[in-house]
Amino acid sequence: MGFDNTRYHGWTGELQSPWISSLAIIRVALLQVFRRKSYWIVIALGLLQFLIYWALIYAVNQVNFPHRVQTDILKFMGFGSTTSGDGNGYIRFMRQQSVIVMILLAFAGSLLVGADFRMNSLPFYLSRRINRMHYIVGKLMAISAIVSLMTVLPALLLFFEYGFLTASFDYWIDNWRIPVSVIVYGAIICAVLSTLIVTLSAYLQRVAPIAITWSSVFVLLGSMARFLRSGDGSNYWGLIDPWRDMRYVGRLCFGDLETQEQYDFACWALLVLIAVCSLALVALVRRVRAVDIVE
Amino acid sequence: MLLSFDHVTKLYGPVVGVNDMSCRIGPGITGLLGANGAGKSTMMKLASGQLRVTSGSVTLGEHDAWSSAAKRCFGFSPDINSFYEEMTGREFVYAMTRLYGYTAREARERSEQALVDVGMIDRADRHIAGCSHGMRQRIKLAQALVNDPPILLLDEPMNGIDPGGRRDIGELLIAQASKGKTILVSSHILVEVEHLADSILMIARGRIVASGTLSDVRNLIDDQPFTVQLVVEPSRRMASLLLAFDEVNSVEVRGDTLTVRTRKPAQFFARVGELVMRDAIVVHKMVSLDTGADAVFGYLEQGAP
Repeated sequence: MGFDNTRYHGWTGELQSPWISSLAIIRVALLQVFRRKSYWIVIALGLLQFLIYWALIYAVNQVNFPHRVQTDILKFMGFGSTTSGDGNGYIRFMRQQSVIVMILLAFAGSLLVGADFRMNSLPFYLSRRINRMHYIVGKLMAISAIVSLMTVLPALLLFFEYGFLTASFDYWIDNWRIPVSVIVYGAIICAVLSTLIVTLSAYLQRVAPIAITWSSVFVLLGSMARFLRSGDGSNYWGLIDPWRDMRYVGRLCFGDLETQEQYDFACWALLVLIAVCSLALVALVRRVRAVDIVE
Repeated sequence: MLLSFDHVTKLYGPVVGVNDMSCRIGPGITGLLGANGAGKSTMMKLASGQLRVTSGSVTLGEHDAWSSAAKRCFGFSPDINSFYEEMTGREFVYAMTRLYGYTAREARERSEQALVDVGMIDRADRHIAGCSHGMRQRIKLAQALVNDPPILLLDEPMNGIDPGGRRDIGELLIAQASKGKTILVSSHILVEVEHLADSILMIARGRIVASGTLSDVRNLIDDQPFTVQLVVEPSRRMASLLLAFDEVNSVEVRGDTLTVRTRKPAQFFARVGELVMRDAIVVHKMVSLDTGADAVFGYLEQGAP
């Protein structure tokens, strides 16, 4: 076998910034997730939920149901005021999609991040023009992309569908805050879920420990919060429940808070989420090293 | 391009990775030899900017190894066997190429060329999960070659590759070296390094114990006797004749086999020739037992601080 490496030509162009190189990490991550047939079951659940909302919005706007029937349908499906066109429906939709995303991430975390540490694949990244910050940001953005594809994008599509079906631009103009709120709320969900899952996966690496810990964070903490709240009645125990924190921050984004107490709780929830994510980021930066030093 | 280590020390807490290591690695193939835990991987990771030195400096040309500019100067093939099982070889090499900052089109061309060079172009669409160990080694080598770097850092590149594949990879590395590239090959397959490398760097316990060509290194070990095995008839007569020579340290006799230790191999071989002609000794076999890298390394490791 003769080797002729004269075909490698000298590169005369500008190499792209390492931050742009990080987009390759996002591409690889999406490829890995969407290649796994088992993940498609969870993705299909999210898609199904979106299609149900899509169909409901269409039906309520286009089919002339009697008012009582319409209300009963909505109550039976448990969607509440989903198709009212205000923010409530979008908050609820995004929250329900977040549950599905949470399930997906419990398994995808090991694939996308844990495997890099388990297989010691970090040298492939860190021997390139990117450093650990580029790697971390790339992974966070990869998880955020997955979360956004299942929460923000469908919510925006529902918003446009609703306005489209009203046959005028008034809905979009009058409710311009809704897509902004969707994006902001989506950014918060992305930031929280991506930071927590990337950090957990970097330390735990394997599917089972990640799934158990991830579930504990969102299920166990919620149960603990309810138990503690039932003890002394203080609503602030709810701050240890990340789902509740994200829900209140979402309502803050949509301006859906009714009382000062709810507003205060939402502000505290935002601070708690920022603090938790900051701590997770610090732990993550320390974890991302090319060499695992065993003490 | 020169790869330089200047008084480099790397500590992992109380554990010494490398200790006051200084060397210059220039164009050509340099074999990096050492036992497990000697510091080979630490050296590779320091050179590839994955670890920061505790003291001293590592430079690639004029760039500090930790800098972004240095990372354009080398290709690194780590000693890892499992990675991204769902991806095909082509997708993996392409993704790694994009991380350098090339445009999509340029990355595509370079990754295809690298796959041709390592002999994986006809199997590039196979998922890595279905690749053999040797195929994975080739894919790793391909991702190290894509940016046509002046320095190649290869950690155990021949591991798991069949003899034909090793020959091909060896030819590839020799062709790369002939273009003036600096290639550092870390290996436990000492025989392969012996035949491939222009020079050897031996490390033990975090220190360089020897550097140069293998024969240079062997010659440095003047306090280690040279061992030769002969199968002769009559063996006992030959043994008594050899013991009369000053340059022979010892002779061990087992049947027709003599194991001779000598400090002056050139003189010894000349003496053996004279004895064979003069005393009608029949020599069935004569072989040097420790000119290979294994033996040299064994001597040096024993002497390492």
